[in-house]
Amino acid sequence: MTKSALIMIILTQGIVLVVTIYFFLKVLTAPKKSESDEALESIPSTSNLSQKGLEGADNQRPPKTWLAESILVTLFCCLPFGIVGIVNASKVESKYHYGDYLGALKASDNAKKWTTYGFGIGIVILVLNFFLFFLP
Amino acid sequence: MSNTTESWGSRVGLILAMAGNAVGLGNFLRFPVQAVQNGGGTFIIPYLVSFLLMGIPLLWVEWAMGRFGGRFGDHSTPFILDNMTHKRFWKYFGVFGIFTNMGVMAYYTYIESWTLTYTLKSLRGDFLGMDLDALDSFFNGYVDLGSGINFPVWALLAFLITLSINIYILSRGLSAGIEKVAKIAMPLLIGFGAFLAIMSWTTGSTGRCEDCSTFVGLNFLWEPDFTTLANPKIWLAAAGQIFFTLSVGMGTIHCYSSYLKQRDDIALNAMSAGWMNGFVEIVLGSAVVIPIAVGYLGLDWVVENAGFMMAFKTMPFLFDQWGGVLAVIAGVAWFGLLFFAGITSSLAMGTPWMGFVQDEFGWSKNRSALLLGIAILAMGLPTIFFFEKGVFDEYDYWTGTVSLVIFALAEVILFAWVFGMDKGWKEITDGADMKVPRIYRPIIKYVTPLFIGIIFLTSLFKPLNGELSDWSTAFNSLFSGQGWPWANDSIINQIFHINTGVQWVADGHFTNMFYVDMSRFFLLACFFALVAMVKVASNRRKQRLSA
Repeated sequence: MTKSALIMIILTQGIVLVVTIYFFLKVLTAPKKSESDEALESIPSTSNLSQKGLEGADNQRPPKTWLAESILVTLFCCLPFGIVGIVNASKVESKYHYGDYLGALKASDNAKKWTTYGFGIGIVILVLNFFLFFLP
Repeated sequence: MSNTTESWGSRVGLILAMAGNAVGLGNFLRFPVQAVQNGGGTFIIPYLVSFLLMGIPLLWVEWAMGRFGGRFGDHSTPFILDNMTHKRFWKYFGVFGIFTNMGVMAYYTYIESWTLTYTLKSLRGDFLGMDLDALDSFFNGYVDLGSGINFPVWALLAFLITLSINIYILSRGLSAGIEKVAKIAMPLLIGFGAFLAIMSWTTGSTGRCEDCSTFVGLNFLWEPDFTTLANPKIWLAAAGQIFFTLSVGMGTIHCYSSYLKQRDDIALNAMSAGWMNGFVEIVLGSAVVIPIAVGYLGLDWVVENAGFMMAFKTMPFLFDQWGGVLAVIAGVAWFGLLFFAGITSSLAMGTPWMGFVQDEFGWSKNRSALLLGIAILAMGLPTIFFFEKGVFDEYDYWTGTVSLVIFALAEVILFAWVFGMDKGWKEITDGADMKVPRIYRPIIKYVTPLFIGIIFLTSLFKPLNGELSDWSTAFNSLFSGQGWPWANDSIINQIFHINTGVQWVADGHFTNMFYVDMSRFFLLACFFALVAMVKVASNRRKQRLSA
């Protein structure tokens, strides 16, 4: 490589790299403006959950266990995520019977999350296989 | 005028989405080719000057316009522009901000689907051992729907799948869809790009031919030749590249920015996203295609063949030279990178429509996305079926080139002269987390409009060959009564077919020009359909006000 080309590369790429990093760091370190808003917004959401918990306790109905779904996901889609789903699903009823309604809700949410992830990954793998098999 | 609850989840997410919008296939495929054709290392100087005098001002203007419109609950360019002036006709310029995106999305999604197919084929190792001829004939067969290897029409199916992915993500909304994708896609893209760049830098001489070395390629891209700086053609090419690479003049930046709050920063965000795009283009984009190709095929071959199609017809062959596993990894990294670059851009192109119909007609996200999918399918199918007839290039010319320049010129005049620099400057600096240099005030008012105006006029009246001397030859020819020698790609010649004459039928068959002109009328019809929608929306607003 000639000297002038090397100088151009180092100079240009160096400047661009430094400026890019500089601006991105400035973004990361800039003080947050909407902090007060976020704090305000987060309060109703937590109170929502406890409200939900109270209502649930009154109605005496257990939250959805996701057991069947998580078993299906374990068998057909994605084993590891499905198992996490099953573990959480089994907690739902036991926690409910101990009277820990909030805990049961949380377990139900977790079971739902892992089951959905497992299902999603299963679909992706399926589509990928389909593609790889049928590609021209 | 909507009561949308959409907003960005985080600042980094917004910047990655904005950078993803700007980073497209052009960063890796258009930039290095433009540099090769326009003076090598010298190209970077007009490029950076254009970035400072036109790119950055346009970024700030578009971000500011978007946030300003968002304050009134408007998330699409027709009504963002409408808020800035009392003159009602400006909103019809805003139609470009939806039309351009849909037109580009139609053919862009098609390229995106190629990258998807090629990623999967690389993963399966299909390209191992293929030579350049085999790659060439595979690609030609792939896009030719009549050919045998394509059954059951893979190009079409891959397009449908890619479009469906886009539509699904768009229907999820801003923070749950686009932002999430950008947060995954952008780091992966930069990682893949860095991997390929390091491979390229470390390959060096391959001994295939006398000058077969990636260093020769890098040298060719970066060796400055300052005598070429006097050539206006290079300046125009550099300004054009800045335009396309930043995705300015499209309407996507306005739309993304309209979901910000008034006190949110835009000056620093715009810089961060803009420079991130510059980094991907200058540092990563320049390191991959040209140097690696020179490393295995030599400089002469590259100078002769440099072009967009190298991505598909050449790169898999080059990766193959690295051998088995590395070839597969590089292939997946390369096409995966292009796919991510593509999808973050095509998602951005979908948002102006989403914002428009949700604001004005109160449609749900799902319905808006579904109708967008149908519209893009209708607009995209002609480019697939008549690819070989030149319909694809025709879309690119009108929606991907001409519309951008018209809209950018209109918006910068509106911002600096109609809306006024006093209010405009306040919009840009409001809530800013950085000090905006005051020099940009006169630049936005005078330099940027002039810059874009020159680009527009020269592409309107471009004379044959387009060099500086050709302009004086052209004027001499005009004044001596022999008429203006039009360049084939000048806008005037494109419209009236002056050089070739209109010929739709030859030997009892429709000519390519027939297909091209029909697609042009189709695009025009799409444009006026959007104009009609804006008119209806505007009437509804009036009714609501008087009710």
